[in-house]
Amino acid sequence: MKAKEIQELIDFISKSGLDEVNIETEEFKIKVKKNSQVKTKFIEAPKSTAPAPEPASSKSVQAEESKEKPAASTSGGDETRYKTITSPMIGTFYRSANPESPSFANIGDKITAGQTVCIIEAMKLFNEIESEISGTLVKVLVDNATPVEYDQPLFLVDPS
Amino acid sequence: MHKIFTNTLFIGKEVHYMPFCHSTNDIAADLVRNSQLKEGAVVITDNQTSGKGQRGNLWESNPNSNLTFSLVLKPHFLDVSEQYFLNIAISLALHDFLSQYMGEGIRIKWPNDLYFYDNKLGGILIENGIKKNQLEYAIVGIGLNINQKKFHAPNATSLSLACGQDFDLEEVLPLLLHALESRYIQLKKVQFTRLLEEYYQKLYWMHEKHLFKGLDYFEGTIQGIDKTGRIIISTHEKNYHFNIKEVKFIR
Repeated sequence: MKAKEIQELIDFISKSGLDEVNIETEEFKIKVKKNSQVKTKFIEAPKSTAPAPEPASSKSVQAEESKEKPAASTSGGDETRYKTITSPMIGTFYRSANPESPSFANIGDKITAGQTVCIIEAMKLFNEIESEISGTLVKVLVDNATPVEYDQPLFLVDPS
Repeated sequence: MHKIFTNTLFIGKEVHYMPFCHSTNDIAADLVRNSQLKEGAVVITDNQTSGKGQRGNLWESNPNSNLTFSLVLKPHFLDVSEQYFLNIAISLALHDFLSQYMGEGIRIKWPNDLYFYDNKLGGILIENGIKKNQLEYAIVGIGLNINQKKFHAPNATSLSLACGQDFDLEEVLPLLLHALESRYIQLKKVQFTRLLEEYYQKLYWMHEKHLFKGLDYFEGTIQGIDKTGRIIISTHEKNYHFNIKEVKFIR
């Protein structure tokens, strides 16, 4: 897929009002997501030809040739010493008590066993999830306000 | 409101009354975390200044007009995956209570709002504490419009507006607590099938064709809820499962 075609596609999607578009053919798979909270960007097209981001939201483009990695995958060998906090249930993951309040735990924070680290909501039941481990929060594995499965890893914690 | 005479076994035997407070759920949660509240304890106020609705929404209530309280439960017998039955049991309790006054017209709007025809009478907000994958406690926040006559929200109503008379809050509260206890005991007996059957019988728009909005508007029919409490809406193509905030009821 040419850079220009990708750019046209992004322009089209940004005007369409859609939040997310996934297109898959035999040759490529492209995922375009409008999200103000996206932190990582992988842009295939040269930056100069990419449309200027709107002030209210950022766009991220992920072009992948292979299947998406599962959220729980770890990249470095030294991460094996980390422990994971997993979801006890199916629901929607929230990092704060309500949209205005700060996150229960941020990367770099020391957390102790028994401390609330997130909320998982299902059918308007809000579950405060306590950590069973103490340590330093290394990684948040799930985006705020997205669905989680039973036993899905949510956080990586360095217990040392 | 500080004196409550109930004929219950454990619900409402311990009452923490405050003339006003920001949110009875927050106060109850603080107390229960410090192990100061037994199962069945009630935290109640005449004037809740920032009552909680659904995540970030406020629950609107005039002072001294309505019932706004939180009930502490410790449903250790429920598996985390079965916790939505708590929502079902509490919704049915409110339905039982309101039906004593109104008979027809009371419906439970998924997941747990109480409607009188197309107007909202009350809501429930449950906040659970999960420890070691177990349900440690549940704070059941209840807001029921009793004597309030005017609302900012367009489709709100009250028991008083529906019945054409005012009610003594101290008289109606024990009846509500009794209804809550009966349904909680039924839940404790693990009568899940029965509870779900009754919930379906009282569910707003169940088996009726209506307009909804997911990503787009669509016509569909509510078929029930799935094993995680999501609502199932069928269209001519297939069944869709929605979480809260993923679907709106239009008309």
